[in-house]
Amino acid sequence: MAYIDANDKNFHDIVAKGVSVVDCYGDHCNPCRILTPIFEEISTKMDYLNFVKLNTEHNPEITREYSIYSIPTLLFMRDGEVVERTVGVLPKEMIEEYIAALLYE
Amino acid sequence: MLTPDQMSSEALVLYQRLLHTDIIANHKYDLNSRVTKFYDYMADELPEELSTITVIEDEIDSMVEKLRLKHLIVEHPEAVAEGDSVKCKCLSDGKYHDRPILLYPGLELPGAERAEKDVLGVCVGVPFDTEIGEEKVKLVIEEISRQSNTVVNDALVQTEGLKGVATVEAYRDWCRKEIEEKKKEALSEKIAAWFFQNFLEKAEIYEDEQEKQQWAIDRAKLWMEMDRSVTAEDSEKYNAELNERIQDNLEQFRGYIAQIGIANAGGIHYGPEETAARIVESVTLFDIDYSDYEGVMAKVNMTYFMEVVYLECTKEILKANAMSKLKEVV
Repeated sequence: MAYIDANDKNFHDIVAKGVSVVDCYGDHCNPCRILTPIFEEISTKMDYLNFVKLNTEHNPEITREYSIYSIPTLLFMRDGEVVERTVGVLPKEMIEEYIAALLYE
Repeated sequence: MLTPDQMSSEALVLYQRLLHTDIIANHKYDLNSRVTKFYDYMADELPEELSTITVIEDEIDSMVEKLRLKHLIVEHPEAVAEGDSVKCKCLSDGKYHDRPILLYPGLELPGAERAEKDVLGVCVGVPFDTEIGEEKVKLVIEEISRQSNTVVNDALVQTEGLKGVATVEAYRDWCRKEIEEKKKEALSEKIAAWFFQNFLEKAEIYEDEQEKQQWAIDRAKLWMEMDRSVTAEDSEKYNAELNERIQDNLEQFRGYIAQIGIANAGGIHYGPEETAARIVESVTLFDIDYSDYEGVMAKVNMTYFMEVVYLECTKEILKANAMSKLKEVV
């Protein structure tokens, strides 16, 4: 798999450098299940980016720290800072546009 | 549930102390309100939507694709082709200077359309001119990453080490069973809710008016304490909200008694011993200091406690029964 499963302990280290796309999801969330294959497909096509999955039910500290109140939430981060965030299921093309904005703006 | 003979000496001390605590020792565990005629929900025939599990080929394909992705091999070729991931360094001055520039030829990402075309065929270490956004830049490729075209075949399936699964066909069968199990699990929750609804409608339940009122009031007060959006200082608003919650609770009392009835029929009954044991179990689970009796008791509210334990028991019983019912029909 081209993504990393993060948790409360390793999250900051994982996203500290470079561009990261974080899928904040829950086990019992149906929209999250729809987003998962889209996220995974993008993650396999784009090396050199950190694709990260964060289970909000198992990692309350990071969930609270980043004020994740709805899932799925995508965090678009550069060097540990959140540049953009989206809530809900997005089509692949839109996620790629957010990543492009992070890379080229 | 944890029994005293399974408890450590510290846990046992807490258990004994809890047993003699007023609110646990003197709680009225056996209500006058009760299920007077049990409804055999298991005899009901499941409707079609609750008795059918379908696994479609797309779902199996998706699991096989996951396996393929898991075994992708990354190569680092010398020259760029479409589909590669390319890590470049910007040699020009300007806003991209010294910033790693990542290109994904073929994706047509906004801002990098031109660069994705210009990078095709370029080798590692060779500078090339292009545009990022509207800025002209000179880039040099540091590394190219290409994923191998992994094929799911029998040899790849065997690397998973699944017992009795040596071919792609056998792996697809295994996937089908996995998906079926997950769907059964999800369906059993729906069936359990359906069982409960039927039980609630068809069982005969006696509701003691005084107990019902008291339960509704205690529960409303508890929720007002937990939801601090309205405080007692604003008495008019507080009372209006409290009354509204009491009315809601009165309607839910029948459900609470039904849960106790189902749990009792399943051999579960909460008295002081079970209550104390359950609290000790929670203390163990949440790694709370056994000697912190005051801290533990500050969190105990019997209205809430009884509701939660009977709700959990009922869910467990109904789900187990739903699973066995599913086995009969699927």
